[in-house]
Amino acid sequence: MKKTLTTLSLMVMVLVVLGMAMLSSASTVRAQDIYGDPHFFLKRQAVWLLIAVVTAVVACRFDYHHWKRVRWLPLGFYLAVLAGLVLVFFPVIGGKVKGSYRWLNFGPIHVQPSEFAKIAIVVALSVWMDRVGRQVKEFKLGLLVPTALCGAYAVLLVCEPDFGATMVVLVLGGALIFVSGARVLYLAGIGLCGVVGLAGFVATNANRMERIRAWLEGTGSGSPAAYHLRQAILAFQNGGVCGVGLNQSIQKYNYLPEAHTDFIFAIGGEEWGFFFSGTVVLAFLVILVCGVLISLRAPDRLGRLLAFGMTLLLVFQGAFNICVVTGLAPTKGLALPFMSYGGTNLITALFAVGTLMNIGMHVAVYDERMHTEVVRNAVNQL
Amino acid sequence: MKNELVRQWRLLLVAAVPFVALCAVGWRLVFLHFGDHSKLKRDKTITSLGLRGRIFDCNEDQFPMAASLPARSYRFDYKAVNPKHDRREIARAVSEAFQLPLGEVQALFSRTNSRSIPLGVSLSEEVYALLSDKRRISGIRIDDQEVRTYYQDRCMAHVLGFVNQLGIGGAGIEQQYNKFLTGSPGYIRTTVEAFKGGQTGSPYLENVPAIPGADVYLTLDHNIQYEVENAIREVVEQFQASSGWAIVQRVKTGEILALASYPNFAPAKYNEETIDIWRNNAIAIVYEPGSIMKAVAVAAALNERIVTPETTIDVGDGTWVYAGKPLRDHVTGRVSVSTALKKSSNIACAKIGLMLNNQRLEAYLRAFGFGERLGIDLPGEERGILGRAKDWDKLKPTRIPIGQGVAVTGLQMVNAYSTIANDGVMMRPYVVRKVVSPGGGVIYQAAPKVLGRPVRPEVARSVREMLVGVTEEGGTGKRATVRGYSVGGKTGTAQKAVPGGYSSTDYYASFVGFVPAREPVFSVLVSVERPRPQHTGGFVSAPVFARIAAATAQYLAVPPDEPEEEVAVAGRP
Repeated sequence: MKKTLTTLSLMVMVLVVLGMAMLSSASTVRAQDIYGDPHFFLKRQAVWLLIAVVTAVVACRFDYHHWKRVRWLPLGFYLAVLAGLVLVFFPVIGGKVKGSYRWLNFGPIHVQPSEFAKIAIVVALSVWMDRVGRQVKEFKLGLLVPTALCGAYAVLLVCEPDFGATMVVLVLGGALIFVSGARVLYLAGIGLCGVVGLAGFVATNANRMERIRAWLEGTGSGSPAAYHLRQAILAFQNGGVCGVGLNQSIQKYNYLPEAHTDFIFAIGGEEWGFFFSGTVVLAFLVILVCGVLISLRAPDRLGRLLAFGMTLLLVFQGAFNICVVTGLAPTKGLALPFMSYGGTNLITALFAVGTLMNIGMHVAVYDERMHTEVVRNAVNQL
Repeated sequence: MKNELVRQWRLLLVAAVPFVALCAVGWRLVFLHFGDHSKLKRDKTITSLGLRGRIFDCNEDQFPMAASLPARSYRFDYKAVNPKHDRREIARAVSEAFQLPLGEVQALFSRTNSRSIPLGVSLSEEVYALLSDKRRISGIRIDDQEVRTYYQDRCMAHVLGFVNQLGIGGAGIEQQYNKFLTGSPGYIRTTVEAFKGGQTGSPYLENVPAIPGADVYLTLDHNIQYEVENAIREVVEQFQASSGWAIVQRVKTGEILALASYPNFAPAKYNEETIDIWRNNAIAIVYEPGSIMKAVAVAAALNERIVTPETTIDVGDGTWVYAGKPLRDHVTGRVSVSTALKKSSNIACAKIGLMLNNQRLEAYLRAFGFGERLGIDLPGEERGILGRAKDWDKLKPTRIPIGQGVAVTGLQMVNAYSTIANDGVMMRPYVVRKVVSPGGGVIYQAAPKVLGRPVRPEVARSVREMLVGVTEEGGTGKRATVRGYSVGGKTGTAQKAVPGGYSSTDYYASFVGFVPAREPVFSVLVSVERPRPQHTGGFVSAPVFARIAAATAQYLAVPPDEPEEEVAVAGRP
């Protein structure tokens, strides 16, 4: 288990370092345009990284069993985030920025509660499902309550609107309910409702339809919705195998929108070529494997669910972001964990890693105890 | 452990989804990075003018004869007008910038048949500032353009030539030395930012600096040229002639000091005139020279030792019928060769032509450069018309020595006299002294070139002496005398050849000669086409010769070789 944890932390470090390096290049144009300082975003991200590392260390030291032992803790966390998701609609503390209610303002610090919602749903569902235990097969306890927990977040997130976060919350929720052993039949029913609802939701909005259509038609589509994708593909091709070199990206000059956030992966692919994109994809794969290993060997049910939820939180977002950037998934605003610019994103990602490490360390402790117990029993028998 | 995995099939199934997705995306990235590797073109090219080289006269003054200045051209594109801008305001700015009536500008603006309506070309930075103001003005395309400026307007027009609208020399030096004068435009290739199309902060992809063209230095002197142009203009106007041309050539080297033709044009506005005005008459008009050819025939006969200056020839009663055609003369009796030249006797020279015979006459004419281009470094030089001796009819050898049945250019004529003046050494005429690159290196340096030696030095000297007689008392060219200098020269009055014979009203009046006659420095030719009412070379052209020769001699500070009494007295207190 020690090797797993070392590998995991190494991969996270690789991603964070690559992310900072790419941010130093990809964000310069926007930062110069908006703030007159090319390193504005980089400096901010450095501060956030510091806070995120502290968060990770805290999460690592924070025994995950506390989520179970202290009854009000998961509920309080869930409700606090819920309150945050409601507060964004109120002026002064919340407010509309670029057409959506996403931010909470605490003086100079702006926070996206939707990012915390992803963590909160994993924690809340894991604790709930652990408590439910074998009653998971029941409709009410195993399906209705957890679905309601997810649903409350999802509705508020759709209202923001933040479809990316909605999708993450629903996917994480669904996965956790499924993994914890809910009846497939019930889940399929809910899932079908969800799919129909989603289809209706997409079909009623011309803008969303256009995005889906553009995605299906691929880069050849003349649709403006395919513009992002076209530019991202051009970035990879321009980079070639070895890339054009650090800070030599052309696409970052406003050709590729959101170059420092959602599409930072494309800039990386342009500047460092396949070395970059291959490394990142591999790192996420390794994180997935490590996370699943930790989850499988977690000492208890809560640990398993929590570890799996956190792993999925990181890897699903990562995989989806890269799929969007390479044209395998329709365009959806979803940040790349560890790399995209954004403080809340970085903090939640490192918090998830910290939690994973904590569970992993308990595996180690558990192993040791088991081992000594076996030895002690053997000795006693003698 | 295996059991455990089976028990956790749900977890593994869910985990498989992102696993497969990541593998798929990895596979796709392999294709994206390794396949269809095409470099992006996110650049624009900013060109800079490579200004055309300058043309200097031999003084290398501060102000060249021709130079190119960087200016901007302004064009209107009605489709590029920003709807937020007021068209009337743009029109007002344009009318203010180019001093055009507002109505005229608005008429231009209402045209929709072209998206590139020229508004004007301007050197002024104020005009640029006014029309490049993006907040108020749109729809005006501004391009760098060079403006060819001729500082002395019409001076040397036919030598300088002009530059056409494509920036290529269309006549004269501008054409002949186009490849030296043409600059090479430079450009900067830089990456472009998406929204505003501005340059990015990254270094230039390519930076090729513009190279201006090389400078051409002429042998001509604008001071002499000025005098020659004035003289030729005045004589053409005075005698209502259709045109006139004059050449001043330095005898020792063959370089051209002045070359003028009238009517002329302003090179900067060449398209206000037609092609026959652009033509450099002095080298491009082919005409029968008349009596000025006699000196060449006499030189040939002397060189062949057929005659001496004292040999007498019987002219008879002024009419000589040969081969069924009469040849008239205003001289009678027996005249010496030198008198024949002085008085311009037709019959005597015709008989000299017969004595020479066809082959030798043709050979000498060709040796003097007739019938062939001399190779002056100007475009459009004509070769003249000189038939082969074996094709001549019986009459030809009697008419060619008096300048009929042979056609020449002014340049050939002046060069022939320069040859006589230069002790029989024929030099190549040229107008460009050197070409200097913008870095200061001399690309081309002209050197005097000997084309041939048609006659012996002593023959040339004796012909010179005879030609001095022309300007003395009793000669045909008395009006060509220059105060203080001995002048050798010859008048020529040729009937203009017209279809079917000769015109009885149109003449070419010429005078060609050299100064000072004993030690010639330069030679001058003046030809006037169709002067009226007087039409003789002695009356029309000789005074112009005198004027040009006097001014040139004074300007070149040629020491006078015939100090007159008054001058001498005035000179010594």
